Amino acid sequence: MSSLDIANSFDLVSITVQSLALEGLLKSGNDLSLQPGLAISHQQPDPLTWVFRLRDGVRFWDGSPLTPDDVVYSLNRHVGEKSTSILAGYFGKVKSVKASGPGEVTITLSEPDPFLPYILVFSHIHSKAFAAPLGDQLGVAGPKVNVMGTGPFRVTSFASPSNLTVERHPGYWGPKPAVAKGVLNEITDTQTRRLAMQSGEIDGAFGVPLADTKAWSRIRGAKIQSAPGMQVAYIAMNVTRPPFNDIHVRRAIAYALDKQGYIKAFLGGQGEPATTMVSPQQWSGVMDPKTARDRYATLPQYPFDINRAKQELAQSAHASGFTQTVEFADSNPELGKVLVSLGETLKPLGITLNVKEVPKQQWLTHKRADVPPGMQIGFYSPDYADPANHLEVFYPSGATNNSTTYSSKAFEAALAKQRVAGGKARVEPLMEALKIAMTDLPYLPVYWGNQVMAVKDGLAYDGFNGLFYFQPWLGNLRRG
Amino acid sequence: MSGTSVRARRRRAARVSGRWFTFAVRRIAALVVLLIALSFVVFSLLYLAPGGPEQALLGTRPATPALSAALREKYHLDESFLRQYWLWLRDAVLLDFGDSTRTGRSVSASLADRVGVSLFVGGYAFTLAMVTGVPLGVVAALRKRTVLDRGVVGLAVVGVSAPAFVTGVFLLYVFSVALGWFPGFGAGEGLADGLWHLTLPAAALALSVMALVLKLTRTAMIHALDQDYVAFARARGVPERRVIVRYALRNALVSVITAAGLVLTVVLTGSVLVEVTFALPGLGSLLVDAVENKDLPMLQGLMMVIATVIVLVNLAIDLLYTLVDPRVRIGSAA
Repeated sequence: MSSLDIANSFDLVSITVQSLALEGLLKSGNDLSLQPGLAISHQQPDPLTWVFRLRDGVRFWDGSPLTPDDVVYSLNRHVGEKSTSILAGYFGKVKSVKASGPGEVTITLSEPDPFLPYILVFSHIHSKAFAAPLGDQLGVAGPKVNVMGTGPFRVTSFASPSNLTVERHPGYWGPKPAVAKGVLNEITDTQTRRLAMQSGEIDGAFGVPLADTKAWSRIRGAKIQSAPGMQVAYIAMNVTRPPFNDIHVRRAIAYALDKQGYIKAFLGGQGEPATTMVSPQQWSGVMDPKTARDRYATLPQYPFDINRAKQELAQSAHASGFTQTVEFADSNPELGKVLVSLGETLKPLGITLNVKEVPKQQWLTHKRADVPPGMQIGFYSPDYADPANHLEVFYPSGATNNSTTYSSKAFEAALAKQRVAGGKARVEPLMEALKIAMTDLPYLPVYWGNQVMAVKDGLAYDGFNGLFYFQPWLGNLRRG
Repeated sequence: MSGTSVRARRRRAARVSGRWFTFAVRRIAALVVLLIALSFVVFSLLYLAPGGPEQALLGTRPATPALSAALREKYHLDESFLRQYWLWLRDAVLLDFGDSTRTGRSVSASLADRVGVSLFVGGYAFTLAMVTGVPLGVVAALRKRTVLDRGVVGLAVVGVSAPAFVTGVFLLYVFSVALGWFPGFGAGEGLADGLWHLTLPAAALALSVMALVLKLTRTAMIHALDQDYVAFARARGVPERRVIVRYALRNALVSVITAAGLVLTVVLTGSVLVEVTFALPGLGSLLVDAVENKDLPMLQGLMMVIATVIVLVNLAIDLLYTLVDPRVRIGSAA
């Protein structure tokens, strides 16, 4: 946990801690739906204007009431060209945030942004009177606690970034959590984390590595829980660079992916073969995941079939094969195993994969290069539960995570269409976009990885979900 | 003794302490030069390494060009290389190493918070390595080429061959999970709790350097026990314990202290090997974190602290030689 200010620390560990203490205007529910948070309701008089009505009776830990000024101050930190907030990228379409009356805040946009409500879940509201004098020291670890929120848990100490304690906030507006006090430790070494769970020193752990779930499930006195995957493992290919500019080569590799095998061998079964970049869970806000899964069956499919891989390669300009270096980040060792296994499958076709482990930063730099590598493997956790999330960040030309140089007018038209359509009307254009994506194949989705946690016997965690880190999750814990 | 007047003795003492003083001053001046050179090398290497701190912060999250530009300005990344170094150096001489790009906290405050844990683990590991290594080395020398000697040396070699993070996991499994004697992570609070928490990490670290102390003590002792003055002492009927301690061990100590200096720098800087395994908030885990996140200000600050520690430890060891062995003099060549 590097800091309690999301403007500076937008990593999973930090967010997990911030979400106990700080709240946004909206909340993420256990069913992944959006729910009222510090704002009780919102309206959209026109596509560029959002009006939020604040909840009455919300108090910060020091007893002071939440005011529109606090909201305006907190959100404006991410707005504007000069903002150095990590969230500034998400607030790119926000023109202004203003108090528009007692208990009311209005956000004006420069162009429509259907994702705004999701972003407001993790755009935390701070007490202006407390935060403003701190400046860039807001949320920083130190001898005194540098944060003041409205969340159900008050931070009582955050002396060092590896250790934080919380206590129930007695003046919390929502239901009273069963947990009165919590001690949060960051144990980065996964073996040490497992041994701490095994010795009973800790009551629960997040971030159970998918590759180690078997060892974790054998711990006596604890059980593991998993939430269906929203994280996607994928292979990206540079569609303007030989040999991957040839669709037959991309298809050949698609048919050579033994997704079920990887999940069984490398994830301890904690995942689902991915047929698109968008996991069915991501559809929660639009339609139920089961229906989404059924619809996916009508999209182009690439089942594991070595003969079809051979046929595709034979039709390509590289029928005798080629040699390619592929990098994976050291933070995802299971992806390295996938590549090595894929390499074995491709060997008889004359394709040699040189698998290379690189530091995460190097992987990122190469991914963002003007000429991205021919082939790369990656893993992405969702920012919110919306089917357009991954489509927006991976496919349009110029998108932050588009490391394939892919650019398709038809895809972008379909994506634009769903942006203005509301509710169920988004389904058809979204499916259209997915169909184009899975026909052109700049990315090969490999699997949707589960989110796995462990909890001590005698405790129960209700409603564990793929976006638990945006929730005040400690409140979901009870005896049982 | 009778021929030396009190005044002459004082004069000699003053001369010796004056020599010590100039020696120490010269070494500290060399340290300053070393730190500047080192900071420049580290800065250059970080500059050349791919990716900047702004990319590390953004990760895979969406970034507008305006945001990248604003972050680059915040960390002076658009300035020329030399200007960036100058901006850093100007503040660093006033002991202001800037703010961590990852946590936003001042580097000096973060280092001050964490140096205690690392020094504690390092000091503890050093003590463990010395109090086990030296006696075992003496025993091995006295029982030269026996089963006991071979056994002790063999075990020590196993210890030095296994990296501290592997030994650490092994110790964790045995003493924390299976026996439940020690906690598995964290540094604890206060002295007693701290000792309890840091015993396993210190032991893991000590095991990796004990062999060095043991082997050097053994060799130096064997050499010392072969000397004529030991044979004479024995012939004169000096008690064996006195022969070993006052005659042999004292003469072997110069080598042992050389080893001690080495061991001390290794355990102080080697904490990086155990801190991540035991989730200790020390300088080692901070270093790993800073490297992973391209936290330039933090890395620079850490390098300065580590280099200073190494130089100061070496200085202390050199001064200690003269105390143990009066034949060693600090001369102009030192």
